[in-house]
Amino acid sequence: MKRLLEYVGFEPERLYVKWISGSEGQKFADTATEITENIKKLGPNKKMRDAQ
Amino acid sequence: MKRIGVFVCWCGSNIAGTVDVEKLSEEIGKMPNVAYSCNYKYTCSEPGQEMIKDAIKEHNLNRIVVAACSPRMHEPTFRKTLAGAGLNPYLLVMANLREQCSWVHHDEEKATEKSIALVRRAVQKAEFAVPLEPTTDSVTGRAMVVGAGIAGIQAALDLADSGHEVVVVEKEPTVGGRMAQLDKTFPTLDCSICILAPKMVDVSGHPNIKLYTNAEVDKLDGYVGNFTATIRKKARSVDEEECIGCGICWEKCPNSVPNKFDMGLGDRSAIYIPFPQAVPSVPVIDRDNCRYYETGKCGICQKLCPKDAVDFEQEDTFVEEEIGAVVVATGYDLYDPTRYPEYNYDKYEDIITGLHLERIMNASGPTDGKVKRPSDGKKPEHVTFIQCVGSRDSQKGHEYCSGVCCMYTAKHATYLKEHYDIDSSVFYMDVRAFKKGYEEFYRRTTDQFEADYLRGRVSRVYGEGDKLIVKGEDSMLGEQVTLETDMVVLATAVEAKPDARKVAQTMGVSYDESFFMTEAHPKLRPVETNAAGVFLAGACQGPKDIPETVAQASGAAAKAINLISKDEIENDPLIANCDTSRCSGCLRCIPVCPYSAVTEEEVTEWNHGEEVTRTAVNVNESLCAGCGTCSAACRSGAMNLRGFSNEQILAEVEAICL
Amino acid sequence: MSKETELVRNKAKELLEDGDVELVVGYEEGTYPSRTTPLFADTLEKAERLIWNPFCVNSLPKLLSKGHFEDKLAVFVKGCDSRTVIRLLQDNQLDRDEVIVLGIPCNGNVDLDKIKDKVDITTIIEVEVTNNGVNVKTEGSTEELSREEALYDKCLDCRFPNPVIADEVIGNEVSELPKNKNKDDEVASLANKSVAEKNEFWEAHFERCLRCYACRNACSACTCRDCLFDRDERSTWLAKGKTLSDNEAFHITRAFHVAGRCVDCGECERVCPVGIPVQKLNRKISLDMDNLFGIGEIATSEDDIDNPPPLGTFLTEDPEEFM
Repeated sequence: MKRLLEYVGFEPERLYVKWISGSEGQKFADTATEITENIKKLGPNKKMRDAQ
Repeated sequence: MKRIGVFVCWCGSNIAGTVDVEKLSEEIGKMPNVAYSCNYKYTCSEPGQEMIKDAIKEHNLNRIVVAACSPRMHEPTFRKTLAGAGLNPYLLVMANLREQCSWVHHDEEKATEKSIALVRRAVQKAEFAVPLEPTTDSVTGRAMVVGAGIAGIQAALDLADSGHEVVVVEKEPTVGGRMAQLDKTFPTLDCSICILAPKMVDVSGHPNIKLYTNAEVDKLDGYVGNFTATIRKKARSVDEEECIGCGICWEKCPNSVPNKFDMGLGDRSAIYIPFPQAVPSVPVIDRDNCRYYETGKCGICQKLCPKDAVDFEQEDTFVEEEIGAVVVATGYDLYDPTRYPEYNYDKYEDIITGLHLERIMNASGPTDGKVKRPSDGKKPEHVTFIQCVGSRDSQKGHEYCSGVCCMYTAKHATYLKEHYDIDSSVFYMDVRAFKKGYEEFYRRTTDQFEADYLRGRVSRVYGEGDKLIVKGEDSMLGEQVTLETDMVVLATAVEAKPDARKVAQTMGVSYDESFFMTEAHPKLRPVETNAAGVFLAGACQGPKDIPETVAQASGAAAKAINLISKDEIENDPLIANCDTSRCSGCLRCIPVCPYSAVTEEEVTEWNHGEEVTRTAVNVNESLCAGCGTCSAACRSGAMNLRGFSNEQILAEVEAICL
Repeated sequence: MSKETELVRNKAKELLEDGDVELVVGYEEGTYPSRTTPLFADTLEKAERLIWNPFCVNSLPKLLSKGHFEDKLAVFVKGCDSRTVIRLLQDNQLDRDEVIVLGIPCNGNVDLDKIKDKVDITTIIEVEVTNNGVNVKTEGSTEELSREEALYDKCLDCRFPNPVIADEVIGNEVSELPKNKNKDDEVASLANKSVAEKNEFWEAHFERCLRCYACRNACSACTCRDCLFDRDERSTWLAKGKTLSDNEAFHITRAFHVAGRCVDCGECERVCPVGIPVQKLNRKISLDMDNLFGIGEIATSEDDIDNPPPLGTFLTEDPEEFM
């Protein structure tokens, strides 16, 4: 999925796929923080903005 | 559009302290499909629930959103509220504003914003909620207990006394488990086997109990209320029906092997019973150490047996049992102290574990109850105990506390002094003596029986001549100490058995990183597991002493009785369902189901004026656990998950993101 | 009449006469000789109208579906169509014992749109396709065209000219085709472009999408009775309207539903009325699947029928980039 989205012109960092078990709370929090930081660096997404 | 009622709960100050509940209920009230929106201090209370029922009637509500705590807390509560008002209980959607919002955020403005998004989501989910009816299944009124130590024995007796048939499966040739190995039990100093043996005999003689020893559960199929267990009866090489337990065979057997029951301190023959009070009193042949199996010669036991019960050709046989509930009571093992090389456990015979000492002190043990050093058979004058070997260690071993070692060491020290006049020193970190009579027992150990408790760790144990030298620390005096002692006893950690993982997987039970089996909830559901119909008792769930084990075993039995006493059980209706008119029969859903709940099914329909048959699929409502994997795998959306349908999820995503 | 046409008619008549099948699915002439259209021949008279020429491009197996026939039927397939047959068998849309597969080796089909500027397509009498070029004979003239000038793009990179599954093969085996195009290289080079370039490329195409769903209708892998995109908006991730975003969402979603099952028949791209390179999209996923799971080309022999679907299977050796 990641590769496909990249192929049609999304920045690859916009899709995160991560395996986190229900008991790995810290990993979840860390991943969410990481994604938020990376996305802020990328800026707003311009693709597919007018989807209904 | 539905008429949705939204009830925002203050939860006292739990939610209202961080979230502006007034603003929230006002904002939500603006949504076009929300017919009624309010906030209330304690919605789960009786007046709170009455308020909801009244609102349903007054405003003609047909979907309900309760924005409060976690559904794990009160979903059943509010479902009952809806049922009480005449609404289908599955028309309720909860928004978790407590665990997922007010309890984890501090910024009030942002928390309120988040709450609005969460409740909007719940409203949209409710918009697409449909009434659901649970189906029912019959229940087999029998239970199975896996493991026949004190936990399994207690559970089996409770189950059998309640009038239900119980199948007991024990891996070893005899019941009894670890408790049969112990000498005296704290804090009462009861003789362990004396209080255990009557229960062991009860188990074998009870009319409702079917006992399989030297047997293991190979497979557990089915689901709650309807399990089928495949039991492997391992070959004893002795016919259980014929044997009268006379003992001639094990008396005359020429071979001698270290006895696992005596921790290797004593021997047994190749055909043997593990200890004198074994139940059943039928021997088993250790084929790896038997002359007949090695060389084809000997066979003395067979020749001498008066009942001709020895059968060298005997093979493993398999039995299937139908049961409604399972209690897993497979017990524990002890930590291998060679992983602390500083204690030199494998170099000196007189460095032993607590369980070794139990066997030494036991009257039917390898030394007839006389306390002797394994090396030279002399009586020790002084014994040193080292606590927490493998426990409470985040670097090596286990991080947890094993719970029983402080007490059994105190018991050892007390007993050695009282009966043998042997002095003790104990190197400890803390003394955990928190149950009834425990603290008092420990006090007597130090005061009356003069055990020398040194708070500190041991850095090294080694031999010098025929003595052992223990180098450690007395942290209260702030000094290093060196003791000369005759025997060192290591209080090794309680750990899961090496096959615990395999047993857990067979039973469908989860386990933690230490391979102890996981309970459904540590406080509120300590004997249930997340596998419906499978319960836990004893040390397989975590280290515990005998009183707690027996209590947990009775608890597990009660839960199992609760289940198998019913004529039928309700299936959770939050399961997958295939719309066969949309299903194209590609069968992608079948291999991805972890519960094998999806099967091929032919459907017949009218097509262009003729009746045609084609393939679709069917979901078994009892096996389906509602995981949703099949619904995700279905490309056309023919497979949908009730309570979490594609329509609901898309509506939720839209509500939050768009 | 060409040799192939004769063989095809004879085989069809033979099967119908012997009562082996109740229907033979093939092609017949359309409005003019270079136009072909599917023919469902259930009588000997209809079987006489069957033809076979380099314009027989529509995939016939896709027209079949389960449960409509009492007796067997026969279908003529080219190499690409034969992979479609395997795809349908794997997706349980066909029963192996209800269809007789008549394979015909093919060295390329002619794209009328490509040659219409060079020849009068309404007067074509005969076409010969060889490894060196394409000979188009009309009433007035004979044109020698290169394969790139005359054939469909999907035929220029054909790897399976001979049917991979067939109960009978009619005509001569094709030994080897020249590689006039390299789809995989094109996909790789597009993938290596910058984010902005890729965006520009695909948005220019997706903007023109009419959401006619021809690609879906022609696709060997799209056999859902009730396609997701036909359902109301509550059940799908996209709206019905033709916005750039929803068009993109449609193509990405369909590509993902087909992922791991695409047999590279190329029908999707061929049927697109506005010329979107749909096959390039699906091919990317097929190449990724090969990179990640090492599965190679799927549906290339009758033995593949029982293979489990790559995206519906878990093996411990699967790459775990998500950990």
